[in-house]
Amino acid sequence: MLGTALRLLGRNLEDAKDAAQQVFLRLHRGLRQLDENRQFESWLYRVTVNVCRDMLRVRIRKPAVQLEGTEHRSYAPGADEMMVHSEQIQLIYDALDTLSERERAALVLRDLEGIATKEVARILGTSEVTVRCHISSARVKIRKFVDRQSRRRL
Amino acid sequence: MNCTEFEERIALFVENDLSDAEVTAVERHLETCTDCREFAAGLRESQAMLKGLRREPFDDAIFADVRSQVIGRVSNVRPPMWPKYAIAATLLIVLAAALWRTRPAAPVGLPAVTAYIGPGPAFPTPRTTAPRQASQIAKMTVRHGRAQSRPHVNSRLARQTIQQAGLAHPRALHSEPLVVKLLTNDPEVVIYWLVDQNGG
Repeated sequence: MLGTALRLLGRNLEDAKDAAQQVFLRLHRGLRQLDENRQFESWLYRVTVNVCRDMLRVRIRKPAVQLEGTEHRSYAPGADEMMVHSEQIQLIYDALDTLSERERAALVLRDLEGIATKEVARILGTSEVTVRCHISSARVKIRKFVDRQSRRRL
Repeated sequence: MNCTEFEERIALFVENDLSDAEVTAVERHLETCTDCREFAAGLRESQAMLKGLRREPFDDAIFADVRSQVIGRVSNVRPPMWPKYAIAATLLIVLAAALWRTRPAAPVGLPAVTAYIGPGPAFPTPRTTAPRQASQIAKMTVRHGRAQSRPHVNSRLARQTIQQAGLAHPRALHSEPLVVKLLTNDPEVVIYWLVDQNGG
């Protein structure tokens, strides 16, 4: 869940942790109402996507104050933070930032969480055709972004 | 279909997200189009980079931090208590009202005779005190009494009722006290007379 939130929100660990907390709190509040027949995993993904979407919208309305000498989006890896911080991963996070909210959610669920297209459609509350459109356009955008960045470095 | 239109199909093709018929169409196009073959190769590369995010590990301290924050917030979030108190108070009030309304109308164990006391100008005196014939009243109880709405008492009719009941003569009375229930023009006001056997 933390990883999903991180990929949906961009490489901001604090936001991802906040999102994970909110998801757990919603889970705690809604556990009694949870329908046993419905898939718990799907419900959890749907809540995670909704929480991250809300956070992104707040972030758009109230951009975070950039502190001097710090980067807003990325974080410096340390002993208590992520272990891997390669250029390639940063490049992919930058590419994910070029996607629309829906494209990003569909791509993260399908390609990073490995969820079937039909289930992704159910989680996002849309049709399978729409999800396929979002996934394909997202993959194309990432391919083109990576290609552009690679050419720029050469 | 031109190459631009094929791009999004190729994006699905590289991850096996197409139907068999669509796969055949894309494969045919790739056989003849060098640009699209390069595009497909680039897509596989970028998809591999994307999936590299799956392997991005998290330090245990991050999970521990999230866990402790969630536990801290969950323990602070307690349901408000006032609804429980409000429900309990309401139930008590309803119970008290029900008990008040269902309490016995006459003293238990005493024989009762009911006399009608009618309203109207014929009996203007709002006296609740006893007539002479009932001078031996031991006790008078007024139920739900109201100071400002004293009942009209038809003492003559009450006397007749007692006589009709065969209780007018002192010898006819039992040793137990007689209870006379007097109804008034106010349905909430009822007067009980307890008359001993010597009083007539």
